[in-house]
Amino acid sequence: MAMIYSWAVRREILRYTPFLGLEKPFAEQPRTRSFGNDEIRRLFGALTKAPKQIAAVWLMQGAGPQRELDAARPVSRIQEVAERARGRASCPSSFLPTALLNLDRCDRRAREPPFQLGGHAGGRVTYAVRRFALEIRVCEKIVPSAGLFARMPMDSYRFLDFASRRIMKAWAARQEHGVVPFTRLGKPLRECTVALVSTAGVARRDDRPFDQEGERRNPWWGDPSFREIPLGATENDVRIYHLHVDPRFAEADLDVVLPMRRLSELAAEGVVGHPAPTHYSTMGYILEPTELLEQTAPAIADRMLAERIDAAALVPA
Amino acid sequence: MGLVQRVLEARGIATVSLSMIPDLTRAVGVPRLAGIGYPMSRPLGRPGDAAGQRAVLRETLTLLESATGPDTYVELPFEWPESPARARNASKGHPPPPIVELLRKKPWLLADLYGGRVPDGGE
Repeated sequence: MAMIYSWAVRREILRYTPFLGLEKPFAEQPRTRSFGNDEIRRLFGALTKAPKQIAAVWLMQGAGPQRELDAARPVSRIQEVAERARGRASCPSSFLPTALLNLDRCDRRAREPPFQLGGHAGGRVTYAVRRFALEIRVCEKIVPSAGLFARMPMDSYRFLDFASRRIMKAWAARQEHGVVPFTRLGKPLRECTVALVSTAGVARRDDRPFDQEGERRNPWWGDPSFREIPLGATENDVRIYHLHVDPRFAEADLDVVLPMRRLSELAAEGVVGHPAPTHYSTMGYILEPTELLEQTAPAIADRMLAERIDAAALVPA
Repeated sequence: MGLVQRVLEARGIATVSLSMIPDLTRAVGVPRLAGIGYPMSRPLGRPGDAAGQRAVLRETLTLLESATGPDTYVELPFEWPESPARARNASKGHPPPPIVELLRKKPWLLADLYGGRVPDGGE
């Protein structure tokens, strides 16, 4: 456990480890007994009944059978238990697919261990820690705050194809940012007027389209202008002009990229004060951002300030 | 997106970004960022999934208030229900962007894109 907390501190997931300065109560012994199929199944079955925190802590403490670390088929073992538990009404159904999904992810990551541990038989320990991360994801479904303890870092490039992945990584590695600006929210969020900015290239049907012909003529160029979208516009009132985005999703439901209806609902719930009367869109494929930085973004800021906007959320596509 | 966010923030508007490629957005240096493991073109979720979209937006907006300093980064706990291959497959019929078509014809230009050398005017 101490090792895992230290790892979490190194990854900046936690600020401090609760094990700091603690002496080990006794010399470590390899575990001799671990849970069998039946015990794991009973644990799963009990999750809806027993105090869930206890079950979560239990899982976090590595309830997984240690001998599986040696076996070549740990994944199929869990799957088997999960399949069997799926039939039980008492098992939270939403957690099983997630567990399997995470197994899939952990498995894929086996090829590139996300962290290094020295001293021990490397592969095994790495597997154990990865396994721990899986259990945390499972716990998270049960006790949302369990995620505070540890979480697998997100793979930013998971949904990209091979070429895009390499290009995005190279661009990310080259970025050099100076001081990052920060404006504290001036009042509680529930009193703020919030505007949205989508980079999906959304424009009203009666407005000027983003220049797609220009990009077809020179594929290194992208239209750096912006469009205003009034609150209340729906997928029937706008079009998507972005050659790097599949427009069908946003054309079926504009809230997929510009969630104005969702924002209004959150205002009705009292999460935010008001949706802004005007929202904005740019087209996100801009390799050379001079005009975006010097003209477009300041113009959007001017209009937001004129409408007394307190906060803005930016959504990519 | 991150670049626009920086400008708005510097002008006194508190901002938060949602990103499917948080590595890249974070590298630009943004005040508040919510990373999400969703595929391209669908940042808020599936069309028609109002509850899911609302949850993503709510978590993103919450950062506006909870962040105490710049470069606040949170990974949202939402899982996309499909594998990456399947999610990409959903866009199979969609034509590739012009830069991809250009690179198919002139693959040596890939080095420029990779290296961030953008030719000005024309190819």
